[in-house]
Formats: sequence, structure tokens, C-alpha cells
Amino acid sequence: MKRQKKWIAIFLAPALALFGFVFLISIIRLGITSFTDWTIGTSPTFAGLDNYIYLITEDKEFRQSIVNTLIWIVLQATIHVSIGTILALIIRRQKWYTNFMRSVFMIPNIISSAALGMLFLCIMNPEFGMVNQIIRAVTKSDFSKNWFMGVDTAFFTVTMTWLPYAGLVTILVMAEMASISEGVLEAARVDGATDFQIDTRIVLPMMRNIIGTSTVLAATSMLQKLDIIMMTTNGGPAGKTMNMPLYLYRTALTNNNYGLANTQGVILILMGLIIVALVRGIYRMDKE
Amino acid sequence: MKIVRKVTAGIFLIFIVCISIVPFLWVLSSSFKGNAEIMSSAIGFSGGLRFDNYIKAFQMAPMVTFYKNSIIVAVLSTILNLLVFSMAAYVLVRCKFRLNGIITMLFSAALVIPGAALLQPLYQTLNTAHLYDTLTGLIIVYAALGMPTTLYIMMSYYKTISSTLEEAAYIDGAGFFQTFARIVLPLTRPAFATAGVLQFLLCWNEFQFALTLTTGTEQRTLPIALYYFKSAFASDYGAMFAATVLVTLPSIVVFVLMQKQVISGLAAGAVKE
Amino acid sequence: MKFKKLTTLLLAGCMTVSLVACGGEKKEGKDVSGDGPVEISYATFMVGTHQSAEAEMKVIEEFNKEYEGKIKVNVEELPSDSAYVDKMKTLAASNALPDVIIGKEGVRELAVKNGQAVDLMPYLDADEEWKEEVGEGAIEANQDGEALYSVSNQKQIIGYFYNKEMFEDANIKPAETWEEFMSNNQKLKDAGHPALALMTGENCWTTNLLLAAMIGTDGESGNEFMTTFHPDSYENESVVKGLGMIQECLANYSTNDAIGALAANAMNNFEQGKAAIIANGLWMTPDFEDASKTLPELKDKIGVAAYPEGGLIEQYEVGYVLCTNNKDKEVQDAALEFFKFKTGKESQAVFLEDAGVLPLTDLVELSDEYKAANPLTAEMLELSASNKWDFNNIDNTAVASTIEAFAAYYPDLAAGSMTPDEMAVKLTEAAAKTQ
Repeated sequence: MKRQKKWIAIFLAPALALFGFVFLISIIRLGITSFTDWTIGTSPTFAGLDNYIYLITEDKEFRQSIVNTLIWIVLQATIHVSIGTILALIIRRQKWYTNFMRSVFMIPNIISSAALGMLFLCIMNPEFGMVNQIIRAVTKSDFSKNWFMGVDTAFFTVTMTWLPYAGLVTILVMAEMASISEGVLEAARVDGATDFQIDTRIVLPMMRNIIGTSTVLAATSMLQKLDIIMMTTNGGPAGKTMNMPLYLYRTALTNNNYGLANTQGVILILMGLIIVALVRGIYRMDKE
Repeated sequence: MKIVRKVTAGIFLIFIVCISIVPFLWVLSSSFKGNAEIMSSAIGFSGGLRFDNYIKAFQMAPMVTFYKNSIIVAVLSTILNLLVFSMAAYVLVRCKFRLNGIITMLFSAALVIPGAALLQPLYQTLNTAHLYDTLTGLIIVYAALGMPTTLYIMMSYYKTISSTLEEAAYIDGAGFFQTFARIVLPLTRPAFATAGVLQFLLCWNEFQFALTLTTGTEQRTLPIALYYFKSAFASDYGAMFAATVLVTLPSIVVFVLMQKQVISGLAAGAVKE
Repeated sequence: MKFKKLTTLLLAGCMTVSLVACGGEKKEGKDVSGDGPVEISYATFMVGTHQSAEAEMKVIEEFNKEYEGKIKVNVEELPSDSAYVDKMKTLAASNALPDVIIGKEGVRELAVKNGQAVDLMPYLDADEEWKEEVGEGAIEANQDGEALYSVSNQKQIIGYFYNKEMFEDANIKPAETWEEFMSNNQKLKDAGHPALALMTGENCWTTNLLLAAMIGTDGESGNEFMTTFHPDSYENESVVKGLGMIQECLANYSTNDAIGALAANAMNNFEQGKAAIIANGLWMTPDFEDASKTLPELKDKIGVAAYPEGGLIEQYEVGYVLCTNNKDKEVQDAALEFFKFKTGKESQAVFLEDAGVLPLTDLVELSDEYKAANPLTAEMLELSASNKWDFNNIDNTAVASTIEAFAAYYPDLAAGSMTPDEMAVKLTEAAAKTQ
């Protein structure tokens, strides 16, 4: 046991060092400055809970950004993860298209967000965009919708730039499926189970951990989503597609208000931790 | 019933292929067009194929230097990341000790720290450590940025492999490290491949930190090249997409190659009882 | 076997990491006290496809050549304007701005606030020749009380371009009054041409140029507002009136994709003959010669005009800021040398020749050849000699948070779900947000 203790320390030390250097120092800085009045070019002065009180009681835009972020987290944790998992189940049995599908589905996750942003702007353009052109051709009307900037469509359109692209979930789940023993499946087949039954009763339950992990990753990715919103709607129209990271970014780098931005950062981190704990609880990830 | 399921699955697959491949085809076709064509129609080549976008991409941005840097940063940072966090994840899953829960939660925090809030503090930390404007700085930062993903993937995987083999090794007198390296690591190849691909992609595509944490052109990475074609009033989208293709292709190749690893892991599988 | 392989690989990895680390360290130790040239830092966004990229490179190369062995400029290239501003703000928060920067979009104010910016007035007073090359106009435009924290890089004259063919089609001339302007829009629409290439994405550039003109020509009070730097309130008659007209333009007289469109979309719409009018600066003229951007048959049918009521945006850009307070004396002197070079006559001439950037004073002459080769520029200069109202653009006078608010609320204004009065209130609220 004593020897194990030594090894635990050795195995954890590098990770803790990296974590400390990149994250911990930054979190401490964030935490401290969240209680200060600090704008670029001035030194921080202690302000107590002023920033927190302002954000919670007065800042309507911040509230809207929280609501939007939460909706996106729920959508991502459910629909997005389901899409990825279903695909993994479908292509699980080695078929001729398995490798192709897995590669193709990953491509949108590989292309840089600068290019993806331009791409979506172009295919959703009200005048020449592919989507409107197709609708026009099908309905034979002069349909024209401003998808990204329409008050009623903006949220939906922005959501569609990431919701269906669950290639990451698929490769995660598939990698874990690789560890299932053929023997187990064979036994089930001998007992007369159909493919569907094998998928739902045997494979899926075994994937609990990785689906939980995928859900954590997918949900928390919504706490980082910035580039693509910035490039398409930039939070507009009138804050309808504003999320927490974008609002934070704007508070820091447009309004020069680092104190307030860091307070938002702290709130975001706390919210994120609650979400992670929730997901881990739901998927019983802390138990063997 | 079975037919209905098959048809639904077929439709689902076709839908997935469409939404996934359209972006890439669009980027690829746009890389042969000029601004006017990109912004006037979604499909078709009215002005013929323009290969000069690719020439421009190399002329206008220091692509070669950036390529070199990106390869160094992505490869080393992926190695560092996998090495450090596969070990940490193993201990967190297999060993019971008092701080286990706290450390797991602490590491989870890395998952939810907004990048925008990290920019300024990280700049200061790196500056103090004399790592500002060095590739080493970027390698370390990226290795840490990818930490939550790698950690979660590895942990989830360790949990699914049974510990009987390890226990047998201990009984045979193997040490802790030996057991980890000889018994555990070979079993976790698929997880390594997955985590490695994701870490590689992170390093390969990241823009904001690369820009903030370096100053010299000699120290910069590929994603920055894309922005050389995007200025407020004189964007050259054709060249930008050509650069995008040049940036994206290597990562697709890496992904396809690594996928082979996942599959060979599949053959070696059979560890889950 | 496998274990060995893995260990070797990991070891190799670690060694490379440490090697790179050492390589990095070596670069750090800058030679400040030695005999080598004094190194100064300069950050620029004029790279890649930026219109002035070539001129910028030329000027820096010339400087490095002229001062070889004495001063060396290390350039930080920050592609795209937004990346530039973001990085400057991050650096400003740590008091680590480069020695010479461009102070646009509030960066100058931050450099003043954090104490890095140098008051240039004493240096200008000490160097008569340089002061003349910069000129009274540019100095006055950027003066903050007695102090001067930036020297402009260019003079801007902005009217609008129009499609002569479409104007003939609709049987109209560039409007003299705003009433006529609106009725022209209707006539263009009736003739089947969308009148205006507007856009409300990014910084709402073409739309806000038009709004600035509407406000800036609305009597003395409107004009005063459009020359006020960082106004606190947008709730006045001229702004509301202007927003009312913009509302009508966005709703009825613009291209369908105006809401949320980028400047590039608006420019493309004009260049591809899909809109009759675009408000934009002279730097757009090289685009007209480029067949991959502009329809070749359009090239000779583009006119330039002042805004109704004889209004033109005439302003000096914020320009360069010297950020060497509290730095080594050597660096201060060297950076000042570079600063003078960058704002001096020769640089202005290079920027005029290669990038069509208007010089600060008449000391840099526009040759007849230049005028012949750039007829639109020549015409614009004539217009600027006789126009009635001069004013700034909103990008120059408004703080960053107000500009974000324009982009956020134009969609509602255009859809009619927000009145001009309500929008003015929102703009005022936003103005208080930038610190």
C-alpha cells in the first residue's frame, strides 16, 4: 500500500503541475479579480460583491445569455448525444460503409470555425443561399428568409450549425464498443436475441460510461461556444443568440471591463461544475 | 417491422452524409472561386476553376513556417497530453485515496473554464515564465487545454476494462508501473487513438491562444494563416478557402490513419466481460 | 517489446520538448546593452489581403534598410482587424503594448489610461519639419486638450459611389436633399434596381456611413453631434430622424440580404450590379479595376458623389500611438525615430502610391498622372473643396459597445418592432458600457 502511494503521487504529479500552471493560476486570478472594479488600463480596486449583484439583479442581457446557454446545453446533452449514439449503433457491425461514415461524420469537426462560419453565412444567405434556393425550387415561390437575422429563426439556425454534427460522440462510443467481447454478443445470439434487442439490451447499457462522458463533453462544449456565433449572428438580433462565453468576451474585449467579465467567468465555472456533477450523477459515473 | 427499421436507418445515414459532406465540398469548390462567385451563387463554377487561390495562399501568408510550427506543436503537445493524462486517469480510476474525488472534480473544472476568460491571465503567466512567444509555451498550454477531454476518455475506458488481468500481474509479482505499461496500456489503444485524434485536432485548429501567446511570425501556427485573407474591406474568400483546404487535409489524413488504430484495437478487443 | 518501444518514443518526445524549450529560451535574451541594433516592436493589422499591406511592408523595409545596424523594427503581424484589437486590449491590460501601435477602436484611449502612451506634442514642437509634414489639421483632429497621443495615418474623404447606368435608367441624378434621396430610392426601385447596398453585420459600415451623413447634414446641431468624440447620448432629434430614414431604407430600398450582411456582401452587391448605391471610402476603387470582383462592363459606369445637402465625411484617422513611457531611453529614442518615419512625408507618399491612402497635407502632391489614373479620387477631391458639411463617421466617434448595439438592434428597427426613439435609447445605454 505504501508503495502504491508513491506511485499515485508520481502518476498524478505531472497532471497536477500542468493543471496548476495553466488553469489553477488563472482560476485564482479570475476569482480574486471578480471581486474588483477593474477596467483595462487601470489597476483593480476592491469592490466586494458589486459585480455579482449587478449581474444578477440588473443585467438583463446577462440573464438572457444564461437562459440561451442553458437551452443549448440541454439540447446538446440530449439530441446531439442521441444522434451520435444512434449512428454508432447503426454502423457498429462492420459494414462496407462503416469507415466511410465515421470519417465523413467527423469532417465538420475538423474544418476550422473561420471557414465553417463563412460557409453557413453563405448557404443561409437570403438572396443566393443554397437553403433558400432549394426551398424556392421546391415550392416554386419567391421564398426569401433571412435565417440568421430573422427574429423568429435566428436561434434555430444558430443551433443547427452544431446540433447535428455529433461525429465526436460517434467516434467516442465506437471506440468503447471495440472493447465489448464478441463472446457476450455471441451468447445472446445463440439465445435467440434479435439485433435490435442486442443493441438496446446489451450494447447500450455497456456504453453507459462513455455516453455519460460524451454528454459531459457535449454539454460543457456549450460553455465554450464562441467563434461560430461570433461569425454568424454575433449574438443578435437583439441578444436572441447571445450566450455566456460571447457575453463574457464582449464585456472584456469590447467594453474593456475585465472585473465584470471575470465575475461572469466565475459564475460560468460554477454553473459548469454543477452541470458536470448533474450529468455524472444521472449516468452514475462515479460508481463501478 | 425490421424493414421499417432498416429504411429509417438508411434515411438517417443519408441525412448524416449530406450534412457532413456538404460543408467540405462547399469549402473545396469555393477554394477554386473568386469572391464574386462565392457571394453570388451557392453552386456551380461560372468563372472556371481558379488554381491561383492556392498560389496566393502560399504567397500571402507564411504557410511553410506555419506548417512546420503546427506539426511540431501538434505532435509534441499530443504526446505530452496523452502521456501525462493517461497516467493521471489510471490512478484516478484504479486507486482509492482520500483526495481522489476532489482531484477529479478539480480537473473537471478545466472543462468549463471559458477560453475568453483565460486569455489575459495565461498571457501573464507565460510572460512571467519566459514562455511567451515560444512554441514550448504553446505546447504546454495546448496539452493542458486538451486535458479534460483526454482525462474523461481515458477514465471512461479504464472503467470498462476489468481489473482481473492487473490483479493477476500483481500476484505474479509485477510492479505498479510495469503492470500499467505492459498490461493496461496495450488494452487502451482505442482510447489512446481517440483521445490522440481529438488532441491533435485541438492543437491543429486553435486560433485565439496561438495569436495571443506569440508575437513573431516564426512562432506561429497554421490557423492564423486563414486570417491573412480576412480583412474588413478586402477579404479574399477564395484564397481563404484554399488555405482552409490546405489546413484541413492533413487533419483528415491523420484521422483516417488513426482510425486504423481504432480498428486494430477492435480486433484485439474482447476485454469486456 | 511494446513497452520498450513506447518508452523510447516517450523519451524522444520529452527530449524534443526540452530541446524546443531551450531554443525558446535563447531567443528570449534580447541583446539590449550590447552593440547590436536597438530592437523596437510594432504591431500591425496591415498584412495579408489588407489594401495597405504592400505599402506597409515597403515602409518598414525602407526603415530597416536606412537604419541598418542602429535600429531594427520587430513587426507583429495580426491578421484581421478584430484579431488586432483583441490582442492590443489583452496587452494593454498587462501594460505590455508594443512600442508603436495603431490606436484605432479605442486602443489609443487604453494606452493613455494605462500610462504607456507618450504625449507627442513636445516632440512635434521640437521638430518643425516633421510637424509640417503632419500638418495642423491632423494635429487638431486628434488633440486632447493640450496633449496629443496619436498622429494620424491618413485623411479620409468618404461620399458614396453610384451606378451611372441604373441612375440613367431611373432618370435621376445624385440627390441634393434627403427628400430627393428617398424619392430617388423609390424611382430606382420602380425601375427594378435595389437602391442601396446596406449591411448590418460587423460594424454596420455602409449603413452607418449613410446614417452619419443624415445626422451630420441635419443643421448645426446634427453636424456638431457628428463631430463629437464619444458622445454620451444618442437621444436627440437628428439621430432619431436619421434612424427613421435608415429604417425606411433597410425595410424598402436595400438588397434582401442587408440585415446581418458583411461589408464584403454589400461591396459585392454593388460590384456585381445588384445595387445602385454604396457608401464607402476611396480604397474601394482598386476593386473596380479587378475583374474577379467587379463586372468588367461596370468599371466605367461608376460615379462618385457627396451626400445630400453637400455633406462629406472628412476626418483624420486616429493613427499611430507611441507607447514607450517607462521604457529604456534607447528604446524610446529609437521608437520615436520609427514613429517619425512612419508618419512622415515619404511614408505618406508610399501609402498614396501603393494603397490610395490620402496624405495628411499638401506636401505630398497628387501628380496629374495619379489623378488621371484615379479619376474617382480626383473627382472626390474636387467635391471636397466645395462641400458644405464636414463630419466624422460613426466608427470614429462611437465607442465599441455602441457599434455592437447598432448591429444588435438594426434587425428590430428594420422589422418595425423597434422605433427610432427606442433604438436611440438603446444606443445611449450601450455608450455607457465601454469603460
